[in-house]
Amino acid sequence: MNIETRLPSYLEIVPDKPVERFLRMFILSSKMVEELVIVSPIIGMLRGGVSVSMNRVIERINKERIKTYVITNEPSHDHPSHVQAMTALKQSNFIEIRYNESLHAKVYICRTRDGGFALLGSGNLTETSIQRRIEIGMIIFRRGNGIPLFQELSKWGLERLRSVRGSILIKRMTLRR
Amino acid sequence: MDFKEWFCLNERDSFTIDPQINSEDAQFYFGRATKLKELQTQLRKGFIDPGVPKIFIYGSYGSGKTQTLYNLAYYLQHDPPKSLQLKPAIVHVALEMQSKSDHLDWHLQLMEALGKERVSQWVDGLFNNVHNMDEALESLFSDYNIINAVKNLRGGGEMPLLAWRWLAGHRLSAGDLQRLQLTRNSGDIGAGDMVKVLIGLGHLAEKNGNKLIFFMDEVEQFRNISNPDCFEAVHNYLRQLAEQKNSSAGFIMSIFALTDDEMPQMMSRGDIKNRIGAINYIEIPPLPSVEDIRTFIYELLSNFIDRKAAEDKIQQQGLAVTLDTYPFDADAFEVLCDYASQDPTKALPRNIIKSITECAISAWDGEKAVIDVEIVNEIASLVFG
Repeated sequence: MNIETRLPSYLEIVPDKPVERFLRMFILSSKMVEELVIVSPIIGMLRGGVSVSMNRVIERINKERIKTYVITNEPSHDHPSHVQAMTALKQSNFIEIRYNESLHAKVYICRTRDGGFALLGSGNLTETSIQRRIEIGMIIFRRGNGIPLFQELSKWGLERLRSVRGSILIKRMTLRR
Repeated sequence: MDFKEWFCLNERDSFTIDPQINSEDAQFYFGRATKLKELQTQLRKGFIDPGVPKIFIYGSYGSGKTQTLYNLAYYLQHDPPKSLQLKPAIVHVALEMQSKSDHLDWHLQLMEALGKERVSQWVDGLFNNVHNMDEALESLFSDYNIINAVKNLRGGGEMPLLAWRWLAGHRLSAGDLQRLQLTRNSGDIGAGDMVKVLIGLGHLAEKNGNKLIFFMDEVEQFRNISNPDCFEAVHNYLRQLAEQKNSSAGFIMSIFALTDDEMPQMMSRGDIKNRIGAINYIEIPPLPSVEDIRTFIYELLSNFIDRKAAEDKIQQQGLAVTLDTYPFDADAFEVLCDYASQDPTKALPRNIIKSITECAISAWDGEKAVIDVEIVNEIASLVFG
């Protein structure tokens, strides 16, 4: 008896540049994105060889009026790219920003009307993480048995993390879709 | 104080309902008493004739289709109708179909959701309750190969797993088929072969005091099938499941479609419609009126708020709010209902719950004990705008 074992189709382990893969999936998705959640202690402008820059991410958010929730550490001058990225993100009316100094988790969620995908992994949303660090991540697709996993992650990112003490609201979303 | 205490939530950490995360959430079906009655009536009737329910529910995204499936399953488990004289064996499955998915893929998903362990227990249960196992199996399964496969579920070594794989539709090698004493792979002679397995397992369930009912979500995935042969194979599988003679494997399928004409093509075909019956195509629409929306929110709050804790808080802090609408003040509550009812297509449970959650998070951010009109204006325009 020879039984093939493989990951279910709703899971994908990404051993190479997982955060960049998520960004590419977000940018290239032909489906209408309803919500984007970015949970990353540090966020950069994603220049210098990263195939999807922060400016491209913001451009899509603004163009398609995607409700976006960003939770990160308060940027310090030790990370000038983080400061720049937060300045850029704050310009968008469709982005809510919260700072949480205890944040260490890295979760990225893209919810479309009839599906979506999420990345749970080790990588920050920075060029250093993407270009120079060894990171790993798991992508969960919102389909089949992946739906409860995706829902649980979404609930964590959209509700629990935003409503814990220490997640301080820095900027509200201001424009309707 | 955390978010849960701040809003006096009753043994829950948020206003969101998701039975896939918290199974107790299945009990809730707010603001739709008439629709619930209609659904329960069709369920009840299904157990009388043809013996199991065969129902399609459809509606837009966020209309509450998944909640409906879980709530109906909860109803059968906790307050079963008299027409259901056996214990329901509930199987939830969210379908996943690709362009070349066929009846084998569908069957495999149903069988995996049903589970080898549960079926093996049924086989053991039958064995312990009959004098002649062969005769008993022949009365449940008409097919020689299915009988042998089911029998092998009680075997030793690797035989049960092989037998399960055959029943689930995996292709086995000639050697493995020989060891199981089977003449062919399951599915070799089409979708009917697989449906026979499912219907037979339904009869096996009955012998164990169970009624097998599949609750299939995301059935709009059938639209992904583009290969014509695959489409016809799945259609054939559905047609045979829908046959009147299937009285043992019930199903309730939920489908994204705004009207019954918009359903995946195979479901709106005449042969399927005739078998299922127009009355069993049930729409889950948006909440139709502002009064329904008001009822929905009232019922949600009355279930999710710890009344005693909220009453104490209102008194101690002298809050300008009544227990009925807490944590919204009366004006904010009405404004929220107005926003939700402005565009009938957006008066969806998902949007209403989202707006309540976001209003609560906004009040929490501002350390406000009560959700006021200012917060609702800001949030509801984002959600319903």
